[in-house]
Amino acid sequence: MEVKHLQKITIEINGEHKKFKIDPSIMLSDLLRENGYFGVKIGCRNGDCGVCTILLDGKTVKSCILYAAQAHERRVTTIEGLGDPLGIPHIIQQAFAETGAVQCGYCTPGMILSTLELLEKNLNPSDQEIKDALDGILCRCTGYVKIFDAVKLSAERLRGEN
Amino acid sequence: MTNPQKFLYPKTIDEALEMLASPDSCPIAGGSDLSLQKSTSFTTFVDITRLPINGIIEKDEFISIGATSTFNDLDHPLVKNIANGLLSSAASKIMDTPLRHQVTVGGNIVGRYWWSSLPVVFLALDGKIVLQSKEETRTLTTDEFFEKRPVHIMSKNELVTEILIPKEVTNYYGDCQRFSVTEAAHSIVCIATSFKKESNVCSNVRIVAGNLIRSPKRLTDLEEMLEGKELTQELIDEISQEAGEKLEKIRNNEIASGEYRKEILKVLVKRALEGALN
Repeated sequence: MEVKHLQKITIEINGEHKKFKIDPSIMLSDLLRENGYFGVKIGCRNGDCGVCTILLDGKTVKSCILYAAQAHERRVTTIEGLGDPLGIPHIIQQAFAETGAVQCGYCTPGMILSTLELLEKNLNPSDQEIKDALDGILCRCTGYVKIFDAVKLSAERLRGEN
Repeated sequence: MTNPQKFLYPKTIDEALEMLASPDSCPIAGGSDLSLQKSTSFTTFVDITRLPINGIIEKDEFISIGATSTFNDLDHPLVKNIANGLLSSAASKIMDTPLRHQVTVGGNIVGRYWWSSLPVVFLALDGKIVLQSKEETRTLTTDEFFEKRPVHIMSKNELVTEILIPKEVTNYYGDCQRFSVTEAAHSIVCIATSFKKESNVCSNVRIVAGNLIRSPKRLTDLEEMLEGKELTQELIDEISQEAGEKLEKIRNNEIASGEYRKEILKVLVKRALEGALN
């Protein structure tokens, strides 16, 4: 039986520096889930559905087609990294809950992280810009209308309105 | 699934080329394709994302695009200035936002993905590809680079380090038209064109078809019809009717028949040229 060489990597996850000894073939989505970050969902494993979306150095990527070793010495944000550790949700999370943008919830972490990336650059996005920002995540429940409402409400609140 | 045994993280191009000289090693940048391959003989993955080849800068007569620039990095002022924003606009329509953060320009042109319009645009812009190995640095025209399969163009030890776009084309007219079943789906026909237009006379014409076969293809018969001529609606109609007639047989794929794709090609050529009328 083949014995695999374990590789040491360091990743900053949600602000904490974490050290791992990994099988170099493990994907980032699997490593994160094995370490308790269950907000990272597994769907297609092909980079199509987007439920495994995380932020890598502040940009959305699909962690099911990214080797964990590629995240070495880089910064990862998962949905667990948003909001207050005491349980107070982030403004975007709150807006998704209030607008009914969450049905089964499976795509929600990816949607929220994509929204965060968008609103960090642009607090007044047009419908097309929202559509472009969310285009990597598939939702089969909501028809996207409530999700658009949630993004707009988040933007309003982050602008200090509403 | 591929089965890497080890990742290496070079900081310089020389270090990377040394590592890539080993027969069991291959470069990895975005990794979106490599991670999905069923198998590969390579066991050492050399992560080239830490190399200084991810910038977009002006360099002499060219705009240099580092090979590990991602598709979203092409949303850059220098790139947006090229031929009506031809390159940045085409890149923004391929795949989706998270994938465009991951997929790199170098990986995409070496991979020759049939669905990607980026090689089509690079060929339309008369780009150059810079390849480095331990022994030498050489620059190929995109005509040379896309003429044959990568395995016949590059050695295993070579790395694409940058893509050069001549500054001269910055003021050219350019357009890229693609057709896909949905906005986010893979394109099944793509046309990119660029040319100089002075007093409505066209020169240095390039019309390139893609997504039909594995490599982009210049439609030289159409280019000749337009070269040195005044652009009129009648000429555009004539040129578009000839589109695809000299191409080798356009095959059926899982989405559309070859015949259908050829008809779409004519429509896209027409649209791409009509944009230059105004």
